[in-house]
Amino acid sequence: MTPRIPPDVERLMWLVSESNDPQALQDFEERFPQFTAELGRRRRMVSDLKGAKTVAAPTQNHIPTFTPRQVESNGISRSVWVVGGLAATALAFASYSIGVWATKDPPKLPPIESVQTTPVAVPNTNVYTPPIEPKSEPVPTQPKAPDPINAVPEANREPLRTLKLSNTSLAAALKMIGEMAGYRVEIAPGFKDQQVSIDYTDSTTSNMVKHLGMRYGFTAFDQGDGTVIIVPAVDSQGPAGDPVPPDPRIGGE
Amino acid sequence: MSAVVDRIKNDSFDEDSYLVDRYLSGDLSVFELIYQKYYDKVFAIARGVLIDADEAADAVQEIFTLVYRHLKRFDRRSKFSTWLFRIAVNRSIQEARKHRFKHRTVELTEAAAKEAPVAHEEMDPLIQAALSKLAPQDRALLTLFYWEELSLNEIADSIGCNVNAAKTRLYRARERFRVHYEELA
Repeated sequence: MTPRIPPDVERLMWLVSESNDPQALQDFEERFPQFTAELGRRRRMVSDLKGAKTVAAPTQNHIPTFTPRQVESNGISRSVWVVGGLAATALAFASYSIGVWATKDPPKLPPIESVQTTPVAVPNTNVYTPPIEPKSEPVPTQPKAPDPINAVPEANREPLRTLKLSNTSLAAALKMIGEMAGYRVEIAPGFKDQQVSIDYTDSTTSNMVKHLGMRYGFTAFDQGDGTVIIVPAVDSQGPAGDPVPPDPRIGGE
Repeated sequence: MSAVVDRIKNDSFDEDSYLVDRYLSGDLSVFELIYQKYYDKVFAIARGVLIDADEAADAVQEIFTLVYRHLKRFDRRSKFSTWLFRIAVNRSIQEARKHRFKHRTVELTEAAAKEAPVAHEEMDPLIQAALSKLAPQDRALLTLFYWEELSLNEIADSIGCNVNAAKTRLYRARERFRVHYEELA
């Protein structure tokens, strides 16, 4: 069995075999005697292979005359061209048939009765139309509330009365006015009663009480339950800024 | 004519380039000189790849026809012989692939007729049998190296690769051939 040949010995063995140099052969056999048989086999193989050429080439007398041939382009055989041509023809015919079938007139259908229609205006949906807000009926506005200051005082709607008293107690006069207006008058402690003379003509009871309060230093407070309390104090600003009506004809003291 | 004589006297005269120039200038008769000069080498390549002598002779005619028609494409980046060998190798490998199916069909027919395949009598049967077991590319490499005795550079140019690749492919082809050769021996 031939021992395994190292790669470098393998390369050297091929070089020696191909060179066929006697000196190189002798050196190799002396250096690697274990590969002598292998070297012989390779020399024989190389020799046989190289020698095969000598019989492969004809002699000069056998060189044929050169005549350029019709070279088949790309090695495509004639049968391939024939098959390709048939396929192309079939494809063209199929394409023509489909084209004719697709472009011929459709079968005639019975006429359709014409119907007169009225064109309907279709809103153009491409134009934006803002939503229409429902128009609300104008709400009747409440009559403007009277200015509390400039409004006509409620007392003005009171019936006008005429009151004339002479040397009468102020407390009695106030109670009399209360009776005239329909409410009860109570005198708070500390009230300084005195004798007065009053003369109101066509004046309301409220104005009468206010005027007397400004003059004699008291204020009347309506309690809301039909009672008016007379308090011996005067608001320097006056009640709600209500101007004191002009003194009609006030007498007294 | 004197210019031609001067060129011939020059050591660096390239006969192939001269013949190619004359052919390209319109003297088509010089192609016969090219054909005579390189017929043996091209036939050897074709024979080495195709093995069969008749197929090789047929391939040689096609190879020279290609050269005859396309000589103007020779760009002179390599020697004319290298360019010619490249065409010979490629065309022979192409023909070998084309004939592979035909050979199988013939073998089957012959086997059916119980006739032993006849090896070409002009080549060592052992070498022919070993070469037959190789791929056409391997046969082309061995042919260029052992028959045409081209250098690795010339082989690389002829098969269109770099020198290292040519060297590797050649050694592998030789090893494959050795295996078959020793099996058949």
